[in-house]
Amino acid sequence: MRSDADIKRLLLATAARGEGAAEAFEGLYKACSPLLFGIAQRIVRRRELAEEVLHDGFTRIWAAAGRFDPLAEQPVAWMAAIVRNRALDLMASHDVSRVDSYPEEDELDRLFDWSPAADDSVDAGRASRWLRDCLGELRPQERQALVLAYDRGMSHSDLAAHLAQPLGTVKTWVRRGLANLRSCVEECMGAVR
Amino acid sequence: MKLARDPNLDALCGEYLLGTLRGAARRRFERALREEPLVAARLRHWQGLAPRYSAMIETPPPASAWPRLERELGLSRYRTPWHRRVSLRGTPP
Repeated sequence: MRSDADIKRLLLATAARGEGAAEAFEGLYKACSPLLFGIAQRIVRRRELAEEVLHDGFTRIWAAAGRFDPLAEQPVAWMAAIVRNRALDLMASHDVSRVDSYPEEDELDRLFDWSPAADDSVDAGRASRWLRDCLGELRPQERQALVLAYDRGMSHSDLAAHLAQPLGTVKTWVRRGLANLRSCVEECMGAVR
Repeated sequence: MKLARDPNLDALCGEYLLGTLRGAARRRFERALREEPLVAARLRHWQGLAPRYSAMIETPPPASAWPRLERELGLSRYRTPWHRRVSLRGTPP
């Protein structure tokens, strides 16, 4: 994977639609498609569906590159959000059976990279660490609901079925989990300012 | 009603990023994202907190995926012509 600065440059050259836009887009594809394909597969769980998600995702990235805001957004996160959204849309229209295990807390450290990225600001690097610590402090069922929703793209009803809990209970876990995560991270931010 | 003034704005941003905001509620939120700059700014604030996946999950897509994209998007129109590529590298055309 190239640095965020490289990815940003390729995205802007793609958006400019000048000569060389195709080469820039190809560079973007080469650098980011393995990660984005991995994300798609984690959500849709079937290779052929993940291929469709990746195809549609990059089609949208090509079309929407002009709306990427280089000052306000991280380029890989911006592309990952497009692919995730496409995967979630597809899940809503397909009945994909799920055979999943529960994510344990240590899975958080296998799946995600909590170290600051090379070109992260000091704040962004710290925020990533805080998020990891705060996730560790959540109640296990809240953490589990959040990780399954984010990583596997589960809806409230998927979560209720998977965790064998009433819908209202998992909605509460998600809502409280997010609120607790938010106040924990905000506390960490406040403590250093 | 403006979503920017909704007391649940932060909760909605969280559920949108998490992916549990679905259906009509998701579409309503996405419309507000386009129409209300304050909502978009609030979401960006939370986006900065979304975790980065580790390289462990990277999976190479099939080799056929790129040519298909290239064809369907008509990317050949946006390629640098070969003679200009050559001259850009300093070789006389």
